[in-house]
Amino acid sequence: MFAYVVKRLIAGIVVVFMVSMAVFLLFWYGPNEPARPLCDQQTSNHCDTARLARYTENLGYNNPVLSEYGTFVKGIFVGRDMTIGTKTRPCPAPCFGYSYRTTVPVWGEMKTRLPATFSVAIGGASLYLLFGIPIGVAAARRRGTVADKALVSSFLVLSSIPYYLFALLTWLYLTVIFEIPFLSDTGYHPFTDNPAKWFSGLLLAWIVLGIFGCTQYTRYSRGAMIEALSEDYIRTAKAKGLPARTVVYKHGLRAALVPIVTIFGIDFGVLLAGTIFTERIFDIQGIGFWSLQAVTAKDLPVVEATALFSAVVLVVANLLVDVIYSVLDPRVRLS
Amino acid sequence: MSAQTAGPETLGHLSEEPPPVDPNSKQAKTITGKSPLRIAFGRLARDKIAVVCAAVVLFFVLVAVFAGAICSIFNVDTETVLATTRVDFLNNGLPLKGPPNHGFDPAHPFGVAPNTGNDNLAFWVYGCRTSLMIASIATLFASVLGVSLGLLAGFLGGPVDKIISFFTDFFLTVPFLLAALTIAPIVSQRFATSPHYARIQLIDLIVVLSVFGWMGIARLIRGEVLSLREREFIQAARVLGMPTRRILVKELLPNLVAPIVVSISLMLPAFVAAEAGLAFLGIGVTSGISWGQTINTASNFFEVYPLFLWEPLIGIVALVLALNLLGDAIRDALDPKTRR
Amino acid sequence: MEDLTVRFPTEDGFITAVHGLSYTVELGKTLGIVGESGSGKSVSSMAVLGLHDNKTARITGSIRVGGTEVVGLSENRMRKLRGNQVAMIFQDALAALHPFYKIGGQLAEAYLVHHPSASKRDARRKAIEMLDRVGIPQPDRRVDDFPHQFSGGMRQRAMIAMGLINDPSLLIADEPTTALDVTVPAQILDLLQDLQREFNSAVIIITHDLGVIAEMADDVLVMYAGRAVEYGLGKELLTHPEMPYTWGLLSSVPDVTASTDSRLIPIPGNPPSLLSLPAGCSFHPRCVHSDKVPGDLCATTMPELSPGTRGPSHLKRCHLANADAVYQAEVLPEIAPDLVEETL
Ligand SMILES: Nc1ncnc2c1ncn2[C@@H]1O[C@H](COP(=O)(O)OP(=O)(O)O)[C@@H](O)[C@H]1O
Ligand SMILES: [Mg+2]
Repeated sequence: MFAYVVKRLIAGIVVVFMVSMAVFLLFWYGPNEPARPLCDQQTSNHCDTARLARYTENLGYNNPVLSEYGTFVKGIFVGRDMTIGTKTRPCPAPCFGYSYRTTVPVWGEMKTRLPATFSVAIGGASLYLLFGIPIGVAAARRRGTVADKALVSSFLVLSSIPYYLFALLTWLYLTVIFEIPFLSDTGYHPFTDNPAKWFSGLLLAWIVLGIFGCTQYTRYSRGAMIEALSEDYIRTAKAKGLPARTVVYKHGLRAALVPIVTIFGIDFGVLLAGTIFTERIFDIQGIGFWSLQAVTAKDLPVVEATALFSAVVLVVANLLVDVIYSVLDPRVRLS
Repeated sequence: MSAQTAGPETLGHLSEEPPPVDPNSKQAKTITGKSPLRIAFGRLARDKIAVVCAAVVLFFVLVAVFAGAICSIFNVDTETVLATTRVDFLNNGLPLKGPPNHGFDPAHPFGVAPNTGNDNLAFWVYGCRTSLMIASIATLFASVLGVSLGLLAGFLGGPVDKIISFFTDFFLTVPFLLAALTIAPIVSQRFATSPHYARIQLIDLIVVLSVFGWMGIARLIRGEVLSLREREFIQAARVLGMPTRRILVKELLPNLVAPIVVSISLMLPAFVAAEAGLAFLGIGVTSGISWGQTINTASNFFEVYPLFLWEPLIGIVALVLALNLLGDAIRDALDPKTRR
Repeated sequence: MEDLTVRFPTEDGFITAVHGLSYTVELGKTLGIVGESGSGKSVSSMAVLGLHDNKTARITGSIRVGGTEVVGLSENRMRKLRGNQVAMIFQDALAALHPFYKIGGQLAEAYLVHHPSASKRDARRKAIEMLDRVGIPQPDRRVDDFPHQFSGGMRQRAMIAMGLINDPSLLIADEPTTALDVTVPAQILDLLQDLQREFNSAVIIITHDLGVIAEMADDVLVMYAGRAVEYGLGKELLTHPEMPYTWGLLSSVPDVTASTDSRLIPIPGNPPSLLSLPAGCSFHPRCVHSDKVPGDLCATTMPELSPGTRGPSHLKRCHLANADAVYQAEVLPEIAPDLVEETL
């Protein structure tokens, strides 16, 4: 078990290293004038060749790529100084560079935006499980009945609609057309400032994300539960004389939870890595919306940092899922 | 790194049920009888929902293929010579004729867009073409990539399999929305001034979609090859001294049709949704015509001009829904045991 | 059990998995049920525990366990019966044990449901004791193992321990040895026999292996396509079978009479689909002796389960009048020539 975790951990670190390298190289070789967006920004679009050359030099694009990658990695761990335009400024660890658009350290802004994304992700994901699993289990127990069939087909239709359209329409109707009082003021307000506003600003996003996700989780849970309930050990449990409740929950659900938890771990990681559509539609200033704005503004350091951040979150989520999976399944844990 | 994601933020799902994580569970394998495809097709033809969905999909395909002809029948096109002849800038740029304020305008059956005065019908028809073109080309590339890698992994085994499986898992962890988002500013920085920017964007999209869409099919194919190569007829062929490549082509490929069909049925709707979703975010097609782009613009006019939003929205929903339900019916028909 | 019928609805109509089945097992006795797979052995015995989904399965007839009528019993009272008075052991112990719970926990759970006043510790002690009884080495340590850490034989032993933990009056073993490696079945069967003597319970052993029957069973019931086709005392039935299906089973079992020269002769054809049973005797399309029956009786009339030549202790469902003679004259020489010579 321990050896397994260590092995997965090392693999995870290797992947993070590879991803950071890939992202760095992408942003190194990808743009033909990587310093131009900054130069344009700082000179109010009067970026001439000489200025561009200076920005390029200052951002380190004239140095060998590997040494710059070293500087970049070092900056993340211990910080570094960066020359933006004419001034040299400190960039404390973890340093992901300076935003071209706002000329503040990327991490400083990211820090303020993480809670928004995490709030959306945690709230939405909780609803996935809170509704998805019970509904799925109930449907599995009533498999083949009219109620089950109606639920399955309506959820199939709902989850076949692209999420962003579902979210957009909900938002348009509830906040623009009907202006439902408590839901309409969507956006992120820090929890510590005003918990009630934090809640009401995120509520609609949670509901929409939660409803949509829970259709998937209902399907998963139903499928996993049906599979579990058809296993031989369920027959054994019944033959022991256990009450139906024990058979379904202790024996059936326990087995069905393993695949559900596995998928959930990954999905949760994806949410943490950036709920782009949700943030964009409900105007929540999180990581996802930020990276979107950065794309439009060609704010390369921000896009680079969010990409790295997302990749790391995903790798960690996968790692945790593997570990949790091995904890949940003794056949993996003890082999 | 073994599970696939399926949350809403990933833009559609390329795998259907949760992947079977339990190595000991006895999942019923697709029984390959005499001609399973014909049996499946028979089942499909009797499935009313599938037939309706197929008709809807066919409609969109025809619209996409004959976009130009449709436009000339209605005498509309995507160019707008002078916006002020069509829209009233004193009134928020809303159209002078036709919806939302002036009833039906036969010159522009779907109305015109606010501000730009573009013809909605022409944009709808060409948006449909963009959508289906990107989705089908990306599906084609992803399938070719996935099938080849899956075959290689399954048939060669050993280190090749290990490497391919590693990359399969690796790409599965990265949602393609994220990849598209990361690449978008680089592409735009590099090519925004190029005269071929629209085409470059299309290529970029297709590449991103296929590079991040091949894993599901590769897995299916690999699994299928692994189970097939243990079957008697492959072993017999090998004993008879048939060269590996001939075994692949002659014996294996027919048996791989079902998993390929299944993957395509999952990819097409996901890619249609993804194309429009990226355009909606402003990181997909920005300098061409796309439903998602229209929706992005239209959401600002929703209060005064809802029809403008509903047109592309119904297009996407109908197409994606029909593709998804049809895919579901196809998977059902190919392996009726999986759900009931 | 009397006149048990179990029917399931399917997409293509009702199938009758068990049709008018009757048998009796006494305490301390063993009934063996044989038949090809799909003949309704498991379905009929699962009905004894009421394990069929009462929403779909239509069960008629009567099953009495120690005076309690099981058919139509409320779920609650049925539950008290299960695992307590009637226990069942399943074929594939790896699949039948929950992979995520420890062996000991699964045994203790079976004990605790029927002994609500017992403490967890009592249940654990009982589990260890039972593991010891079924011959698991170091039971106090293995009790904390998970099923996958046991060998196949040990898992089946643990299943038996679980079945017997509440000292049931009836133990049903559904193909307890089919999934095991070659040498293990004999040990498991020995164990079952020992424990039966010790617990003095009635045992139903289900198998498609007549060798197991010959070794274990006091009575034998042969099933085909949901019906009993032959039922009688074990020895008698095996030496003087009167139903061609049983002959077929005998000839397809290797080594049943320890004869070195025995030949394996499979029964021609496949079992019929329960959806479209042939008219008349279900077995007649595969029966090589139907030409000895006058007219087309076999193809038109389902024979009754009636006493054979040796009296009412041996029932058979066959139109053949002189079945035993045919067997001795035609079948036995085919499958065990040396045995015939011995008797001559
Ligand atoms: N729940 C069910 N629904 C429909 N048919 C069933 C069900 N359970 C068993 N059967 C059918 O009943 C027949 C007898 O099965 P079974 O008793 O398991 O045979 P066996 O003698 O091999 O134990 C089989 O043909 C099987 O397909
Ligand atoms: Mg059976």
